[in-house]
Amino acid sequence: MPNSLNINSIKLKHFALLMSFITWLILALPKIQVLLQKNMLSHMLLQIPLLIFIGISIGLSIKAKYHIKTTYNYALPGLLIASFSMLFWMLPRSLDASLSDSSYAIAKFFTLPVLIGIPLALCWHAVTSVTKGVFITQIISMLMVLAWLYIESPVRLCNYYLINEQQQLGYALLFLTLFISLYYSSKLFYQPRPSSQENANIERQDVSQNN
Amino acid sequence: MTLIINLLLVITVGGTSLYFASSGLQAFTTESERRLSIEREPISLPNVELLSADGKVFSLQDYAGKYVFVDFIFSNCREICPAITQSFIRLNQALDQERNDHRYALLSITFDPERDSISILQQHAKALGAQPEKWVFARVHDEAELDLLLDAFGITVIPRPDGQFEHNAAIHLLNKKSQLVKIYDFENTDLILQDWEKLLSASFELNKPI
Repeated sequence: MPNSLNINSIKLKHFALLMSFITWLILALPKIQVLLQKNMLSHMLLQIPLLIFIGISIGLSIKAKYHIKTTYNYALPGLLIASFSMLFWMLPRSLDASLSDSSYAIAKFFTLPVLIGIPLALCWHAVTSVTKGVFITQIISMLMVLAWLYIESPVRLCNYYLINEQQQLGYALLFLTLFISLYYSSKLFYQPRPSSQENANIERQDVSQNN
Repeated sequence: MTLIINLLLVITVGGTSLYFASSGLQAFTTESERRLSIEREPISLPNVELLSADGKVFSLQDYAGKYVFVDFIFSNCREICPAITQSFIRLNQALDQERNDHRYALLSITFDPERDSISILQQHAKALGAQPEKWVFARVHDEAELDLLLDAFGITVIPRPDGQFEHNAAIHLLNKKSQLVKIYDFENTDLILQDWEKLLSASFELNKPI
């Protein structure tokens, strides 16, 4: 029984890995690139996140297949690599360059999965919840600033897109960020469930009080 | 210890690449990068044949010996071009104290040669009361050369569904060698006039760091 389960999960990993590469190839097809990059919204909210998710999926498959256990010494720098790469691709200049300069376009297709997706997949579980919190807060604030910038800017920030698309993207980012922050804020309402160790302590205390 | 070394490594590499990717944290958009790089180093412009509203064929290089203020417009524009044109009018009034100031010229080039024929440009210039010896409206002589000209100036024009265009809005200054030396916000005529005062004192050069 466990054997067959194992085979299935290995197959699943291979399948996920294969699907990630296929999706990556589809996204890299010139026609699909043009289609997704024609509009600022589909470029920033579809193509770029998909490339990151492909990286995450590849990272998770590799992690499971080779039983990689990232230590904190590498996990924190790994998340930092992802942060720097995100900052880089948030520069309106980089986005423009990925449309006008093919070396930037190639860089986008490799760095988004490799420098953001894979580190996220390999490092996320290995950091403390405080680090996760800092990371998420940083992303929320970064997206908020970007949303505000895109909504309020009287000039186009990306030369290749219309100014009304820029505003649409701004509002889309605003709602996305609100959704993300609401999701994480909702966790504040979860009652922490005492662990079994604490449970035992509480019971012991009860017993001693009764005595 | 490993953690600190790793972190330092990532911060150094990441910080340096971000620093370079934003020209030393100074230019985050393509437009600001264009302005910054031109201020650091003026660029020579291609010898593209232009056709003026009164039918003369000329090129940017024909202005050698003069400072030229260039803007890019299309006559059908309902939004930003009229505002740039107003800036040009203000600039012209402020600069042209003496009637025969030959030290500068104004040039408005249309990036919509398909619709902006010579006669339309003529009407446009007349409606604005532009004196042709000072302020020339022009289109490219050969439409195939438009992209060459726009690329050199760093102008990106995107057609919109409503027949209008999204485009850079700026005033470009060419020096006496017909090189592009500075790009101004079109609203900022005060800065242009300040720079102009300095330019008249011969020792001042715009392309040196200010």
